[in-house]
Amino acid sequence: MKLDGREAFSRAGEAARGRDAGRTVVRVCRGGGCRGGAAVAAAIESTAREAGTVLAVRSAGCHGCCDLGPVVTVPAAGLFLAGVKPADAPEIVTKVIGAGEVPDRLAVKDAATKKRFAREAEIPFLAGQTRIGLRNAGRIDPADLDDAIAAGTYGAAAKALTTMTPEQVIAVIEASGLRGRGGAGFSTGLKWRACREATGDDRFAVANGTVLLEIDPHAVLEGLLIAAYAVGAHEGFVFARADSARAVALVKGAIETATARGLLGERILGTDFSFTVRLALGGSEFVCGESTAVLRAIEGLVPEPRVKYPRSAERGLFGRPTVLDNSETLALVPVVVARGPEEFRKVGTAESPGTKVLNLGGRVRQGGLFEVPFGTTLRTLVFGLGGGVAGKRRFKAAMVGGPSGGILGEADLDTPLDYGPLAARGAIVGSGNVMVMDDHSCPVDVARYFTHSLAAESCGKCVPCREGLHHLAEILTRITLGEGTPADLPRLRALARVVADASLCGLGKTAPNVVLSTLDRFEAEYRAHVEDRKCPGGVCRALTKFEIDTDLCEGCQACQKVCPTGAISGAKKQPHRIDPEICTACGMCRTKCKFDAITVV
Amino acid sequence: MIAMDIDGRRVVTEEGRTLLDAAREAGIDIPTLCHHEALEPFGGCRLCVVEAAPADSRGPAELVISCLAPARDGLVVRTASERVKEARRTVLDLLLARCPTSDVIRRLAAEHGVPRTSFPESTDGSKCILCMLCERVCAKIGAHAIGGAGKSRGKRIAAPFDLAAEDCIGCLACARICPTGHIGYEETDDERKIWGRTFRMVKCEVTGRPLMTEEQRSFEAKRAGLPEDWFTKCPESKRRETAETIAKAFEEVR
Repeated sequence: MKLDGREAFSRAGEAARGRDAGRTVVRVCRGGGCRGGAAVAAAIESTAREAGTVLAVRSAGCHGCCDLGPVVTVPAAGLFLAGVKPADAPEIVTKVIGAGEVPDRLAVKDAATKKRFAREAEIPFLAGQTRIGLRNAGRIDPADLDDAIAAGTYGAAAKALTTMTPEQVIAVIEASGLRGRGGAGFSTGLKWRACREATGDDRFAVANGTVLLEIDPHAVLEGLLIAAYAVGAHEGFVFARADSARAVALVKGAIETATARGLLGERILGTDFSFTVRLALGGSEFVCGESTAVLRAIEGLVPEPRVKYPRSAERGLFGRPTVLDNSETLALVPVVVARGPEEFRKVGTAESPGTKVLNLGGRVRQGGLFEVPFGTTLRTLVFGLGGGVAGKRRFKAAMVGGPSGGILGEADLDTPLDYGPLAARGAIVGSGNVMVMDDHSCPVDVARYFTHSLAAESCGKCVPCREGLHHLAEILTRITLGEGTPADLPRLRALARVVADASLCGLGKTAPNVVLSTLDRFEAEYRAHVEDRKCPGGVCRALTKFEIDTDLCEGCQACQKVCPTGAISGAKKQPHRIDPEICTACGMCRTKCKFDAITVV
Repeated sequence: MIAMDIDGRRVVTEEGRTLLDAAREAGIDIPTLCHHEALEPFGGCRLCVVEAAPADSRGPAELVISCLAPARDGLVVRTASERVKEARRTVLDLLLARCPTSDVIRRLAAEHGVPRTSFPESTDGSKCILCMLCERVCAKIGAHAIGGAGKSRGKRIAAPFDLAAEDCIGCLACARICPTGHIGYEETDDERKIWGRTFRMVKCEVTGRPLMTEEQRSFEAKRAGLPEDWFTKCPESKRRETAETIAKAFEEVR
């Protein structure tokens, strides 16, 4: 049934919130990474039925910590159980729900202190976050509009459409200092104003970016609706990668259900404002992080960026003024509208108010999605929330900003994660990915790997990116193969600088970050590769020789078992030895050695 | 009116002109490869980059693409600063590595201080620099017969699915606009071969010389709303005919 006004909308909210009265709600996460969630949910349901316990078993979207999944939560009791298996169902029904007791194995082990926590509010890596964009992550079923409405979604849109003028909405967004989360950090308010003031009969509002679409599609649609209302757009698109099957299905369903309930489409919530949203599918080209490429893809053309004269806000999709925002930005918009710009500015920095969703990965104890205020240091992220470097290894570097981000080292750990400070150190906010590397990694090889991938992702339109990245990757490949010369280092730097300076779009302009930032911080390692023919990190196989430190070796034979070429010999409890003639320097032994006895010579 | 400082000279131009337009009007040379006056600017070759900053700006100048950057009042533009020259040299160095057999690229590179490439040379013999002038002129004509395929360094100009170009009308616009002569074709008085197709030529009824392909005649007639037999004479015959008519008229008057 269509909601024809604000009152009908608030009644719908009450109904949605009250639908589980008298039942205990249990949520089982069914995020993209949580295989097994369905079986867990079924087991809990059938166990409860047999025991006569009245439960409402509902799905939950991704919590942003897939290594702990499947996760089962009991929201009323604030409980958070990790790594649940169908066999745990009886205990969950009787002990957890019945008596509020959580068996140790289902509680979350804190990566740093090894303590176990079952209350969500006490789990350090969750409690330490400021979840605004991810406010509903794991708390709602992203496929259920009633869940979204119960959580307050579309309330800010109702407020905007019924009590605010488009000008007032733009003024609020401007006052909040909200910046685009898609990477460049452009002022959302300025962009909306430019689009509203551009000449043209009709305009478009477009959302791109996949992560929030999987977690909270209605929050993104609500933000898009507010954007459309603010700029005066009556048609919009959500651009999703066709290969993100889950995001595609969720967005498709979300658009349909929201339209059916009168929250999108004609005369929204009984007002005069209409906004039709369609799903546009594209390939998974990296260049689709570039706004003008996305718009071309929606037009059905090859996603190639164009030079931004004029800006898309003035002439974008099909030649009409277009506002394009990242789904993370759009998920924050309702919060700004509902709580006001002053409230939003209370977190983050003066230049970048609010929070940023970061995706922490690599050699860290607790990875996943971390939403933190802008200005949080890299140290807090990696060593606080992330629990530090995995295993017994030491922190060496972190790649900040995704594949086109920069590599920061130990000396940069106190860098505030924010546009300005990161740019000053050769990194970017970018996609918000932070990949941690330990002392068994090689910055040169990392630079080679990412430059090679980015060269392949170049659309091929402009010369510096298409040809320059190729040659950067070639030079780096030669260096990692032991064929580099000292003259390669200044050539790398010079070419990387021109590619960054002269490329057409953000892909080419940021792709050399990894080369320049590693050259700046790890020049000694580059030199070791080209002068001494050695890879200090023990990664580049042509330049690595492993040896077993007989003082440290306990003779456990763990290395012998994994060595694919049988290069390691030695009796149990006797120091082992690597035969350099047979060893291929694959490094498998080093990952298995608990005594740090395998050393690079 | 817009007044700018280009290389220390005061240059006045109109609203809507680009930095490249303004510089060229003032006789300041900026090299280009993917630019053509008949087509929309593209911004792909990056050869025409210049440094630009508003006069009151304190920050560093921006490297902008002059074929697309609009002229703005008070802009200070440098078309040959060290930064610009470095970018141009690098672009030409990269193009020279891609197309070492292209005389055009070799000459242009040499002019800009790149006598030989510092990168490993391609050995495929291709002269294509992917300026996309061919694709763009073909689209402008309305044939849309060829376009870019693939991406990254593997991008190339091709007919759909690498088959004979179904929509090609054999007009040769692509081959003629190609700055490096990459697009080849074969031609006799009776037929023309390009993009996997063989076209029969329409001949001038006066001189008997090849005029255009049959497909181009149909295409042009349809586009202009003219009968197909409109196109019967070559431009030279038409000129001669007109001249004769005028001469006859003069004679009568005299």
